Amino acid sequence: MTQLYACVAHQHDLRLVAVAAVICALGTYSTFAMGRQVLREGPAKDRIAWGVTGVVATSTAIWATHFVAMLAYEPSLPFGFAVGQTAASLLVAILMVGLGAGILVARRTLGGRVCGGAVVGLAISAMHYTGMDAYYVQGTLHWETALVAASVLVGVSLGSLSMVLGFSADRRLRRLAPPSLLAAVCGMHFLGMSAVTIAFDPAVEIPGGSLDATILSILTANAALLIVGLSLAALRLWHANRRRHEAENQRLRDLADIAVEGLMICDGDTVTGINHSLERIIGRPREALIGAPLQSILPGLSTAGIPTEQEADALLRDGEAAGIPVRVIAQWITIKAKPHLVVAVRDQRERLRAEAEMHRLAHHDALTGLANRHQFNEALAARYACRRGEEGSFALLLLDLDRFKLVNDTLGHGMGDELLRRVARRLMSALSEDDLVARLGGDEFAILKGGGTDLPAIQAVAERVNDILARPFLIDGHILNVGTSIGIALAPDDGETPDLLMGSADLALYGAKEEGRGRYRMFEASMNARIQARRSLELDLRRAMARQEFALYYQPQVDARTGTFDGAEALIRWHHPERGLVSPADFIPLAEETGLIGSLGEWVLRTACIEALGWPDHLTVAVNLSPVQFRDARLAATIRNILAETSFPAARLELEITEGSLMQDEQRALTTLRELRALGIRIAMDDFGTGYSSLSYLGRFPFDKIKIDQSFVRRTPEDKDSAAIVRAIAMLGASLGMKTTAEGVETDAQSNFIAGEGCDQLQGYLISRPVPADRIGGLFAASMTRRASA
Amino acid sequence: MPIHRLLYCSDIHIAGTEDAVRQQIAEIVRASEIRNAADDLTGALLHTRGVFVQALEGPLPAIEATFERICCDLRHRRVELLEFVQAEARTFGAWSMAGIRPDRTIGKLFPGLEAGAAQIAEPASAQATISLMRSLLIAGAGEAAPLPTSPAQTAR
Repeated sequence: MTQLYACVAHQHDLRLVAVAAVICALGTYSTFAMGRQVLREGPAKDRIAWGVTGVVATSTAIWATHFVAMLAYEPSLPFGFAVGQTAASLLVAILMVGLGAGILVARRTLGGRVCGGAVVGLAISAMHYTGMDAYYVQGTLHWETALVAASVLVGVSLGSLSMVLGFSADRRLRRLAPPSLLAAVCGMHFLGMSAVTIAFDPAVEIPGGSLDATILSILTANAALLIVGLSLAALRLWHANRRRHEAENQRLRDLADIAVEGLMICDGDTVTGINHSLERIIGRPREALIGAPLQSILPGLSTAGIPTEQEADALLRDGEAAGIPVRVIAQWITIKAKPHLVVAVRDQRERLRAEAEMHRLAHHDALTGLANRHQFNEALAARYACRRGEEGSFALLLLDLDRFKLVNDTLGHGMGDELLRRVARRLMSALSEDDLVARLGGDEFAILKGGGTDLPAIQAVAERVNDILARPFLIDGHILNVGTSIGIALAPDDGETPDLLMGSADLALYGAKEEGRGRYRMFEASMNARIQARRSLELDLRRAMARQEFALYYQPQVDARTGTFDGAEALIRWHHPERGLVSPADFIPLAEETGLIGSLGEWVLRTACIEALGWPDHLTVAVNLSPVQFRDARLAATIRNILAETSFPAARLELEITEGSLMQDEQRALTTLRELRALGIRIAMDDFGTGYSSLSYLGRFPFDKIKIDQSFVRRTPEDKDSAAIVRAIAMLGASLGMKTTAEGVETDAQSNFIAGEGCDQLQGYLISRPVPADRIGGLFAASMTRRASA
Repeated sequence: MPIHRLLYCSDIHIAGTEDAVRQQIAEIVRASEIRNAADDLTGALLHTRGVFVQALEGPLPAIEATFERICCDLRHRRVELLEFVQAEARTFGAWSMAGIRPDRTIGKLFPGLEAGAAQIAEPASAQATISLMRSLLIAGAGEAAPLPTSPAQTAR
């Protein structure tokens, strides 16, 4: 070590040693810089070029280091270099460094690095000693073998170490590689130099043609710097270029990644690029997809198969077995002068989910979750569409809750809604999966039964539904007994079309309700005939108004004691062009059901007022009000208008109402009655004695008159019970301050009896049948003349 | 917290041999025992001659939910509510669901049971029925070993 120190410090020009060290440092730096380029992914051509550059730069640096250091060596004797050997030493360096590099590239293992590094280390020694052979000095060289061996060992071991470090995975270790190679070169050189001693020998001559040491040193140093510098400059350029390229690629990728749609670049049928969205859609990393064939991502599609004009549906293969539904469209672009296909992939899952949800909402009842009318109609239509012989037969059950309205009205809609939800659940538990249960609206449900028209099976289902809905519902402490009626129709026998089948089931349901609710009924053909008749009557009824087929007849009422006319009751008549005279008992209920009663009732009121205007002005006209009319909150206003229009005095108008009008909402009935009486109109209780709680009504409602039902009147005076009832009512009226009228008086005996019991008024065939408007005037006029003449 | 009591009767609608039916009923009792314990419900289920009579007592929401479940159960037919009232105290506080199957002697003592639900359905007799069920339980008519595999239940 002392020898080595003395050799460097005393035998060398330290400035030149520094130059040598700089060259060597640059060289060793470039060694590893190039080396990494070789190992980098890239085209083989580039890697070979980098390899050659690295080998040349490294060996040149080693060679130049040696000669500059030799120049720094001052043996105080004349010296020079042989041209041939000098050149040979460079060649040796290049060849051996090349060999070492080859091993490093070929065997990328630790062993390879150790071995390659050793060869590079040997190259340093080989170059050095070949170079020393070119060294001519006026003296003889004496070599200390141990130090020579040590120098070789240092070169080999540090060379190995530098390669091991240089290609290690650890970045910090890699940084140590150039210094260790530098140490290998310098250590080997100066150890080698300290191994030599020169003994002056004037006999030795420096051969002619040997290179002057100074010139050689300057040449080699410049050449080495040039080569190393150029290679480093090339490397720098390459890096800058690569960075720009990468930045550009990154920008493209960023742009692509911003896109919501999946994007994929294909070179031929190979995927070369994929954006972030597509990565996410597929659920696999970019790296796993790039390089894969297009078909592995879009099975069954080739570059030629993807449309460029209009989006096409496709299935994207992801990790799962089921593909992802997508739409694709492609566009050609040019990348690096080569046409590439950019495929835009739009994920359809969200859209399809939204569509499915909308479909669900459109097809299901929001309250109960059952199918709604829409879906039911579709299902029913589908059953008809694919109907084939016996297999296509099925049953339709229509349900209507028996007392739902009551719950809704008395306990509120919240309770009604909860009840409907529970009904839905019970229905589901009473039926099988094949059956479609739908809520058609309100408290109306339908069941489309699968599996034929086996009657016992269908009846069992109906019984089960009747049973399960007859069970009480307990909601918030209330006991709700609802119950259901069911109408059943069988397809195709009971209906050739969905509409006809529904009509039949509806008729059967109507039948079940008529029979007393809480039961089911199968459709029967006779129901159809009945409804047909009803329908045509309804149609005629609607037309009758426009065609003026209605007329009012009047039945006079007389004072029971004097026999003079008090007024008349207006009775509607329908002269049907084909049916002839239609009884009010047949068409009034229909008019009430269809809502026609509103306009019909108004017509009756107006007509009665107009026609009665022509009567002597002490005579009243009595008009019947239907319960439906009476429940209309606008009744009083309507009548006030009619009175104003016709100028008919309110005091001459009498309205006859039945008990049915007062039931349900007594408070409102009372309000209406008071409003009417406030107008000056008189109110008569019609058909008294036939209802349930007539007596209590008499006390609570302000009536002016009681009309005793004709069923009692007709049986007097023979039937003792009827006679007693008539007598009681007359007395009751007298005591309550209400007039009493006996209807249906037909015989003198009845007339005498009733008048005798204190009734105020008589009406019936005995006095007159109902007569048309044009004849009632004559009747009244005649009586007036009689009275005047009497 | 106020409790409610409910009493209903229904026709047993379970197909199978007598043993199979008995086994199913035992399972019903056991399942409701577990569920009722969780819902703070107590009660008893009496079954005789094809009729269930069940009493349930506890918080209103739990009673209503349980009864709704029973009403969705097709093993019952013609479910009839006999009583649904607010109660001062529990009658079956010791049993989350006790199965009662009266033997012949007891059955004869109470002809109402033998005749089926129709006679129990009188509102006035609801209280009497509940008292009877409780007496039967205390007298030891509670079902012995409803399932051969669960001897632990005989403790009831």
